[in-house]
Amino acid sequence: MHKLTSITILIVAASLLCAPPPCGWAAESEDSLIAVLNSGAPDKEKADACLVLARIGTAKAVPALVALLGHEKLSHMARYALEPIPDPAVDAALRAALGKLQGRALAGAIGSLGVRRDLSAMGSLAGLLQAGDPQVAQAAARALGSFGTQAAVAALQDVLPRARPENRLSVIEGLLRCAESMGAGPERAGATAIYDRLRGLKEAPHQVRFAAFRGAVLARGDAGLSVLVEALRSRDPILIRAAARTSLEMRGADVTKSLADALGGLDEDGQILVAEALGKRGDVAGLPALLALTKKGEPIVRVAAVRAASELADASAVPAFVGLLNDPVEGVAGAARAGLAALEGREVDAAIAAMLNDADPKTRGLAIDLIGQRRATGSVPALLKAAQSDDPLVRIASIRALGGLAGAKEFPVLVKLLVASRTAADRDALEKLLVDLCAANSRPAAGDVVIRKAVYGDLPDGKSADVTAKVAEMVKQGSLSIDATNTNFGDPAQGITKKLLVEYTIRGVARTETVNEGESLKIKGGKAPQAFIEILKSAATGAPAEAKGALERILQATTGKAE
Amino acid sequence: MREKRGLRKDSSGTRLSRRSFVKAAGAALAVPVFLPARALGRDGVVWPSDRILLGGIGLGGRGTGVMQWMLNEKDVQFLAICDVRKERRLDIKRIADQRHFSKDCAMYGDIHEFLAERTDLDAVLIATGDRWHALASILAMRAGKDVYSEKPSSMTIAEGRAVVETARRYGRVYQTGTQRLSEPNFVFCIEMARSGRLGKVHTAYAHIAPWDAAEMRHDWLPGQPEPSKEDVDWENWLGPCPWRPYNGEYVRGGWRGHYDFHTSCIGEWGAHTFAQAQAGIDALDTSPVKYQYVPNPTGDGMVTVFANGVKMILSRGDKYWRGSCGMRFDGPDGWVSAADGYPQPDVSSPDMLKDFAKVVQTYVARTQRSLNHVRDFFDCVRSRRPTVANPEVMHNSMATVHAANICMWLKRDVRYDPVKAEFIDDPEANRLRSRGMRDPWII
Repeated sequence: MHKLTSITILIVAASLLCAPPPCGWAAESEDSLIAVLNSGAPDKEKADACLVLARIGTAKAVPALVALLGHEKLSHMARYALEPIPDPAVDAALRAALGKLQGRALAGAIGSLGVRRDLSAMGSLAGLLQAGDPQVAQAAARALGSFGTQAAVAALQDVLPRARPENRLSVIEGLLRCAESMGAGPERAGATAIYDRLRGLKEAPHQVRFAAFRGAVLARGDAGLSVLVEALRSRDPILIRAAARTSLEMRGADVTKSLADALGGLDEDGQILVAEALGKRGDVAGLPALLALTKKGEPIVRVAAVRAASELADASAVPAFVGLLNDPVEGVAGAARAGLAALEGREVDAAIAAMLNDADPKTRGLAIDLIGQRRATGSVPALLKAAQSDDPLVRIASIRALGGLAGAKEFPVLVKLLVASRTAADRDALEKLLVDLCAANSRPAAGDVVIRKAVYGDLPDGKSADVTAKVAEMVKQGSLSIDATNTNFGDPAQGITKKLLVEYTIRGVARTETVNEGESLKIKGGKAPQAFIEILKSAATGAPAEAKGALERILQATTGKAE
Repeated sequence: MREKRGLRKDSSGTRLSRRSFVKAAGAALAVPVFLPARALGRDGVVWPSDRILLGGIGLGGRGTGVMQWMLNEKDVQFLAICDVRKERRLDIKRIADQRHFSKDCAMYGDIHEFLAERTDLDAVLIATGDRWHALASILAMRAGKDVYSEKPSSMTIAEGRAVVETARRYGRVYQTGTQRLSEPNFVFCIEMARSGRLGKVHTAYAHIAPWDAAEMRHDWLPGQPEPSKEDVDWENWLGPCPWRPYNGEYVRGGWRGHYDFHTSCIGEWGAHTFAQAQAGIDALDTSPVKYQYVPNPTGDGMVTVFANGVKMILSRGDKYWRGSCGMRFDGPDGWVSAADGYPQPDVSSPDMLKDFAKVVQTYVARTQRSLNHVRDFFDCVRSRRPTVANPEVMHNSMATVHAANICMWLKRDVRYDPVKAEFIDDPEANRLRSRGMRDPWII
């Protein structure tokens, strides 16, 4: 991504405006384009003609295009135009050109025959597999691969043992392409045979070993599982890696079971790979094996197992995760914490709430942190109880965790907690929580609102209408939610998604809100609900001095004046 | 130019043993999990290094930025640069050698020589410009490399499909540089849309770049004397694209806007934002089926429609956001929006943001992905799992880019069948799904 400064954008925009108009794409007639090709026009004009013929050309254009196949500069553009023309005349012309072209141009023609899957070129291309020019031989191998026929397979397999080193990967690519197209159809056995032959290659690079293994497993269908299991037992890192990756393309509980069964026999590298595969597969049948792996062994493997188990997002992992929260290996404990924080479900909420009763204050603290992270409203009663704990750290953590979770229903209890607060830290935390709660529940009275300016249109600089009077009237009528619609304000900028901007004050405090067309603009700010104010006033009467001070500050913050 | 194999040194010159590194990583919760390099199995040889050995292909300004981002990862060592420009080769070597306190970074001008010789490299960063991204990725994956490719990652629908097939065939890990898929604000919006918190999302908006146009240039810049092949290898710079005479402006970034080299203002940012939008509406395995032509030069306002009726609207200005690469999701229960530079996403109800941390955290637990795009790539290099912007994600979002471009170029509505990867009853549009590649740069 390119982050441009506004100056750069201006420069680019200016250069765009100054650029010559697009050319070479115009809808000209095929005849006129052919005439350009047959003329002495400059290369650029002929290249432009080829560009358009690629889109609209027919058999009629083939002779003129074929005549350019040997042209030093225009050979490619001729193919560019020929390749997409859906007429057998193109195939015949390209085949005929094979005997006349050399080097790059020949390789290009072979490539085009491959793209077009011209099976009639089979014999010619097979004959080029051993061409002295590597780019020709390689192009022929890949093109035959695109054919995917038995004859292509035979030609490629025949040449494989004799292929020059620089051509070998292209021959293998050709065979893999053939196997892929055969593997999807009734020729599956043929595909399996190709993959098995490639598996048997000596000193094949790792990517070829992977490709052969993957193909051998998948082409066998259900029977491929035994090949997978064999690889998992092999202690060959390339095969184990290939097995883990390939398992992601396989469905079924038996695959999951095979991976899970293999875990115990693998070294730590293999365990990590397979654990990650089990997590990615998303099959909860893999969970017991992963949880077992979390309990002992190399820390790095245990971390991987916890993370993979988290990915399965199953509540049955909760007891095991809770058991890992105090693990001496921070990586393991941290992964368990992250897993618990993200797991969904009431069982998880209940398990974490139960941790609040734990004798160990560290566990209680962890539970509070988790509740805060999970934002589980069902945990509010447990948090309120924890906010009265004898442990000051637990009290503070609970009060903070209640932020964003507590609602109007909890307001009276929280005020009582403030009145009974034991320390300055408790009071400060509760004061902040109550101020936030007042703000979240405040709703201005329409009489407190003065609309200073309201504009609807293509903001900020496009066509717009001043709708100040209209909005003021709506607020006067008691509406504090203004729909930004053409129905309310007309349509000052047709075809544009407009915005509504409103500047207003609430008892002297200025605010600005903007919403898009189709949305509702909410007039925000104002006093807390009267019920809150009454509760605060009542509690302040007879409260200890420190708590009374806090309650008065809350009243001041929410009403804008000392009550 | 191949290196001697043996224990590598870290940047402080300390020898790292594989085992001590594994233990240290586990003890300190080095997220992500580091898998010992033995399992990477370099050609079957046990390699006693904990590092991912990285090379670069075509690293200009953006590529250099991504490279430096990658070099922040302590388990990565940059060992070789392949670039057709000498100036860039030298720059990248200087940066890599400074970072690693060495003189090891090798330089190559030819991609085939580079890939054939550097069998020791695990992965490559590709940032050549649109015209080479897919071809370089395919060549690298055939050579056994994992690939991080800058976007836009294909020039045509056919190229994108070939990237998918090659990655699948050889089991390569591939990530396209749509980094916002790994950034918290964008992840939040995507997850809010995906999870149904907005109700059933009916419209997504995706930002297209505010420079260039959908209409492309077909002219040639005036020819200039070609520099020496050592300084700028013009033939290799052009690669699979139609030949044209050299002009220095092209190699300095002036290739943008030219049909042969660029995927237009739609591809420039659509490569990012279509993937973002399609992620939010669970459409990363498909592309829209309808594209509505808009009579302007840019595609601004184009309405695309998925098979399930959900709309994705292309937007060039700032109607829906205030920064670059913006996206927005609208549902019956609210909307969310994000763009670069936001301290937090825009939402229809402030209550939504209360769950910001939880939503992002749940995403991380569910996917076990890093919220760092290059880290996600390196994690997947080790684990062999698909990246967040894997080849299918790239291809399906880029197919949307290409179909939208074709709609604009043909100046009419088009319909597309994402399963068959073809336009419906539209031979002219279908011919634009691929472009004949210049020899010898053929797939």
